[in-house]
Amino acid sequence: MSARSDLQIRFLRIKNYRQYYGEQEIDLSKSNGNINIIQGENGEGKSNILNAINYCLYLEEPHIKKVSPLLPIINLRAIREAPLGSEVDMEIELELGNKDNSHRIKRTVHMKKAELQTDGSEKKNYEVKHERLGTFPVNSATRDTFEIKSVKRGSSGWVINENTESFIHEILPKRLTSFYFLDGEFLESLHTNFDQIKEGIKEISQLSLVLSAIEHTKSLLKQLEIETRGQDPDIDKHQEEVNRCSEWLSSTDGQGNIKYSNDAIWWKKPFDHDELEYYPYSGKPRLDLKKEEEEVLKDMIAEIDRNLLEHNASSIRSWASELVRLERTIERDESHRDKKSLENMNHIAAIGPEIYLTFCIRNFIEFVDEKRVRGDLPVKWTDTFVEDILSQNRCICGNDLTDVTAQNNLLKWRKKSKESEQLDVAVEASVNFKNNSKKLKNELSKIDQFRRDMREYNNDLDQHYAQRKELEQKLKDANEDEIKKLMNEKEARQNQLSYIQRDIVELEYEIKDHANKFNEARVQVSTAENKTKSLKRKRSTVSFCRRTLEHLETIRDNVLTNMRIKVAERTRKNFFNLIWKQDEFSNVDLTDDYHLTVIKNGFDAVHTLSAGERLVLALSFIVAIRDITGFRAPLIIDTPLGKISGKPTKNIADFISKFSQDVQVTLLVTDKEYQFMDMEIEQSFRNLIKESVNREYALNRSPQGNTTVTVMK
Amino acid sequence: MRDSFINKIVRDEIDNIDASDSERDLIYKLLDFERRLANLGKTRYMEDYRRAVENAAGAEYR
Repeated sequence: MSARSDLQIRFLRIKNYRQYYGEQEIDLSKSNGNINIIQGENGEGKSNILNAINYCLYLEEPHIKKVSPLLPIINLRAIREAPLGSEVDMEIELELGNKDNSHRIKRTVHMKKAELQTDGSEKKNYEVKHERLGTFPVNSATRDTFEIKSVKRGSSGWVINENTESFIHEILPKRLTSFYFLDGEFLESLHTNFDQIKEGIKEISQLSLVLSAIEHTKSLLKQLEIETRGQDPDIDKHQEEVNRCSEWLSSTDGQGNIKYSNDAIWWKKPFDHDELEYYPYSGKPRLDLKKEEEEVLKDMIAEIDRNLLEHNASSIRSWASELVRLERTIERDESHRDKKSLENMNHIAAIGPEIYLTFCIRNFIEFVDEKRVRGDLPVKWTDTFVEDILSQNRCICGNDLTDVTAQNNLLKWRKKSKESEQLDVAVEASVNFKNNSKKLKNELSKIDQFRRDMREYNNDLDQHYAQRKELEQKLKDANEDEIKKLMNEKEARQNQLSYIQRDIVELEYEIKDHANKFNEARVQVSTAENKTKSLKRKRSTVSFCRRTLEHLETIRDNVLTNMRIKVAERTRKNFFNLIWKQDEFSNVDLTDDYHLTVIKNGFDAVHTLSAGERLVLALSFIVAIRDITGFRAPLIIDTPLGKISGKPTKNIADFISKFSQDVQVTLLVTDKEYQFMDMEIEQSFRNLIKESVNREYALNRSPQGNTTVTVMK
Repeated sequence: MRDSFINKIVRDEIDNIDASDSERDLIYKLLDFERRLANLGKTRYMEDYRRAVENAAGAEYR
C-alpha cells in the first residue's frame, strides 16, 4: 500500500488526443489545497480527460461517448493538416508521484498519413477501423508505443521501467478504477448496483485475491491428489491393516488381549464389541491364562485318577487302571488321526485343481489324438524354410519359383500354415497333459489310502470309546458314593478341558493369522514406500495444501463478514454527516447480500431517493471502503453535482473539502455546477470549497470543435 | 513483503488464523502471486505457484 499512499497526479499532457488539438498541459501538482477543478460545458471534453488518463494507463477509454469510437483517436484537425505521407502523433503523458517516487507514463500513437485515393474523395479515406484507435484513412499505418520512466527522489535522473504494465497495476490497479476515476452515471446508479457493491468490496478489500487463491489452491490440490493416488492406490489400505494388526498384536502383551481400561480388572475379548465376554485380569496373557487353566484341569483330572487308582477295592483299582491306559491310547490315536487328516487335507488342496480338471483334460487329449490319427494336424513350418527355398528360386519338389505367381502362392501357403501351427502347439501340450495324468492316478490312489487309514483309525477309536464308556459305567455302578462323585467330577472337568482346549486352538490360530496379516501388510507398505520414495513427501504436500486451503477459506469468510460490517458502519456515519434531512432517515445498512438499505419512516427507501440523496449515499460508500482499506489513490469525479442544489451542495462541498486533506481530488465540473450562485444557500460551489482548491482550469471549444485548456481566471 | 501489498483487513485475518509460520508465509506468497496474475491477466506464474506450495510443504516436512 505504501507505493500508492498519498499518490498524486502531478501533471497531464495531452497532444492531439480526440478533440484536444495540439499540446495541452494540465498541471495538478499541489501548491495550496488538494482539490483541482477542470471546468467545461457538456461536449467540451471533460469525460475525455478521464478517458485520456485511462488510455495512458490501461489502453482503455471507459467513458467514451457512443459516437466517438467511429472517429480516430488522433485529432482530426491534426490529421487533416499533416502533409500526405507524413507522420501524425498522438501523445498522452502523465506523472504520478508521492514523496518518495515519481513515475512518468507516456503513450503514443503514430499514424502515417496515406496518399489520397485516385478519385480524391475524402470520405473513402476514412474507412479502416482500428479496434482501439478508431477509423483511419485507407492504407494509413498506425502503431502505438508505450514507455514509462520512473525516478526516486534524489536519484540522478529518469530510468526507463522495464515491466511497465505490471508496475502501473501495482500503483493503480485497473480493476479498481471504478473507485478512483468516477463519473456521475456510476455514482447515480451505484445504490442499486449490488454486484458493483459486492465486487467493489471484494476488490478493495483484496478479497478477490483470496478468492482466486482459493480457486487456484483447489485446482492444485486436485492435481496433487490425483498424482498421489496414481502412485499407489492401495497404500492406505495396507497401512490401515498394519495399524489394525499392530494394535491387536501389541495390545498389552502381544497375545490378543486388550486392556479394557487403564484401571480395569477385566480383559475384554478383542474386537468382539458386541460380545460381552470378559476375562478376569491375572496380569498374564490370555493365551497363557488359558493354558494355565488347561494344566490346572489336567492336574485335577490326574488327581481324580490317582484317587481311583489308590482305592481300597481291587476291582476299582483295576478298572481305573484300565481306564487310564485306555484314555492314553485314545489320546494317542486321536492325535495320530488328526495328524493324518491334516496331511490328507493338504494333499487334496495341492492336487485339487488337477482333479477338478481331469475330465476336461481327458476330453482335450482325445480331441487332439483324433486329429492326429486322421492326419488333420499340419506339419510345423518355419519362416526360415520358406525364405530359403524362395532365395533359391526352386522348391524341394523341383518346381520353378522364379515366377511371381508361384512365389505369391508359396507365401499364401506359408501364411495359412502358420495359422494352423496353433494346433501344433496343442499337440505338445497334450503330451504334457498325458504325462501329468499318469502322475494324477498315483495321487488319487494316495487319497484312497488316506481314506482307508482314516476308516481304521475311526474304527479303532470307536472301539476304544465303547470300552471307555463301559469302564466308566462300571465305576459309576460300583455302588459307592465316593466313586460316583469322583467320576462325575472327572466328567465335568473333562468337558471344561475340551472347551478350554478348543479356545486355545482358536486363539492360537487368531494370533497366527494376525501376525501373518501384519507381516504381509507391512511388507506391502514397505514395498509401496520404497517404490515411490517421493510418495510421503507428496502426501505431506497434499495435506499442507489442504490446510492452506482451509485457512484461505477461513480468511475469506472472516474478511467478508468483517468488511461488510465495517463498510456498513462507515457508510452510515458518512451518510448521516452528509445528509441534510437527518431526521427523515433512521438507518443505513449493508445487508448480507450486499444491498444498501436506507431506512426512512420505517421502510427501505433506497429506490425512492432523490438524485442528491443517491449521490450522498454513493460518496458515503466509496469513501467508506477507501477509508477502511487505507486505499489512497487520487480521486477524479466527473460531473459530481449534476442534479444537486441547495443544502446538499453545501454538505457535499464540506465533505469533499475534508476528504481532500488526505487525498488528491480532481473535479470535472460544468460552469453551472461550479460557479452559479445557489439561491437556497446563496453561495456557489466554488465559493464553498475555495479554501481547499489547488488549481482551476477551463476547457475552451473552438468553432471547429477542438478543445484547448486554459488556466481559469 | 507483508506490508507492501496486502491491506490491513486481510493482513489482520491472516495473522489471526491458527496456522503455522510456513502456512502463513505461503498464504502471503500465494496472494502476491494472485496480485501479479490479476494485474497481468496471465497465467505464467502457475508453475511458480505450484513450486511455492511444494517448497513450503517441503520445509515443514523436513
